[in-house]
Amino acid sequence: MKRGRYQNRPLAFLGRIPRPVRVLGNLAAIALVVFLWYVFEGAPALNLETAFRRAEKAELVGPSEILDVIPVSLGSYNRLLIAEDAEAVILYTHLVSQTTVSSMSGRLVYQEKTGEVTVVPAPAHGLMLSEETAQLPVVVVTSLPQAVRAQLDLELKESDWEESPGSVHISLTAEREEAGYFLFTVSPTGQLPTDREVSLINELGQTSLKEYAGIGVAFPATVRLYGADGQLLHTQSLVIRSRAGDYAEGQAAQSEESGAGT
Amino acid sequence: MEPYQFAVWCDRAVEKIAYRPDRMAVRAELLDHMEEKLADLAAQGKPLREAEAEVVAAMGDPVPIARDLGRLHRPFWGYALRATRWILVLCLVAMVVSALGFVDSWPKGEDTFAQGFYETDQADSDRVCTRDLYPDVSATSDGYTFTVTRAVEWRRENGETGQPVYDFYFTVAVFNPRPWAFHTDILREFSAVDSLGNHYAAYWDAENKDIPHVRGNPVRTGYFTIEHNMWLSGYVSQEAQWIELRYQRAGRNLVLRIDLEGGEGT
Repeated sequence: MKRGRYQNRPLAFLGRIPRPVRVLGNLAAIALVVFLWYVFEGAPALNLETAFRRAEKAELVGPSEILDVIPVSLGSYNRLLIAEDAEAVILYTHLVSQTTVSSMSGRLVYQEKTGEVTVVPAPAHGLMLSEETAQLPVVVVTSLPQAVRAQLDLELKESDWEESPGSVHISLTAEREEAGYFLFTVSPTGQLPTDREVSLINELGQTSLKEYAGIGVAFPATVRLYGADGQLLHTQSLVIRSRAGDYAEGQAAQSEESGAGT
Repeated sequence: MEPYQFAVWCDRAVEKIAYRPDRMAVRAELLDHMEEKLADLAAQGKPLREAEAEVVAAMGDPVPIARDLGRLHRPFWGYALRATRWILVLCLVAMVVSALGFVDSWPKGEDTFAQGFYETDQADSDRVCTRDLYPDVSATSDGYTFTVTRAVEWRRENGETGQPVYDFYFTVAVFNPRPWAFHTDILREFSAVDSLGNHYAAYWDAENKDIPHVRGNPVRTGYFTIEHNMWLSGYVSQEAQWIELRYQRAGRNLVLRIDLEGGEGT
């Protein structure tokens, strides 16, 4: 019996498999190939929250509760995610374009809570803040639920080894956000030339970054919390400093460590 | 060459089959059948033209046949098969292009730990290996597994004082099988303590401070594993029985104990 024209081709056995089954097989193969493609592309996070959760795991912290995501202008990052758990406040900056979340990692800041008020400047990496865009978010979290307004007083002081070190006094107020935190925005005030103020604001942001642990800056700050009827609920004075503290503090620590060592 | 009448009849019989490959396949089947019939009649001695006409007449009116075949051979699965085939091919091409870039980014080269920490320095008379250990101790957190794979202690002489000075190097492999996991430099948050109570600060806590601390760098990167060459700066644990690397933060408590007993050096 003469065979049909299409029956002599190689892989003719495929013709015996029902088409719906072959279509399903193709779909399964497509899913596998797309997954491998995704892996080879570096497995980018598909949304900001996913990127944040991955960053938490990489830092061995969390999982924390996400309070808010706000738009910012911090160099190459345009989103600031604010989160907290029982022990710490976590900030995470990332780049989100109109259609995707950048495959590059964002910056995660883990700040253990200090008393009833925790102050965390958003991370400013290097010269991220230019004179045109120098606006550094500073997040304040409190355990006092009745506080509805906060006042943040900051003193940004230039290092003593500057020729004529100056300082900038900043006083800001903020209403409590719906998500429960206070958000301040530190920007140049005109007390010093703009480039010097921007440099100080950069340093304030660098206190949150591990890579700048040794920059040796310490900025005193005071936070006042007010209730709904305007009464002062709480005042906390603190120092916003780089991770490893300042140099003098380092020397003191060294003496302590040497004594308790071998 | 198919008889003209057969071609015309077959074309009309399959014209309602929308999906072209199905149409051609059914046409071929019908044609085969008609040619077989023709061959049978020709074997019986019938003239060719007469046999062709008889075969066509026996097949019947192609119009209702075309209608029935059109209903039987719906095009959906045919088009679905073709579409998924093309999508698969395009995805394969994209994957291969990605894979080439991925493979290109894989680490190349030899084990720098072996060369930098041990074999090369064996030839260095100023440095003596006093401990060569393979601790193989692991701890896991958040999907990352930290394994101390090797540890070496050196003794050398301080050029100025002539006193012995000890150095301690070790390798930590950080493994995560999830392709989407971020690479981590969390080892810089690890501190250390030995059995004598000597403390080594975490790297980030030791900036600006001349205190013993844990240091290291990633030196080899694979897709799932990063190897780190680490050392203890200001090492003073040559008399200790063990050293523990510790990470205690955010509710985690990772401990990697490097047993310093055994593993004799040269």
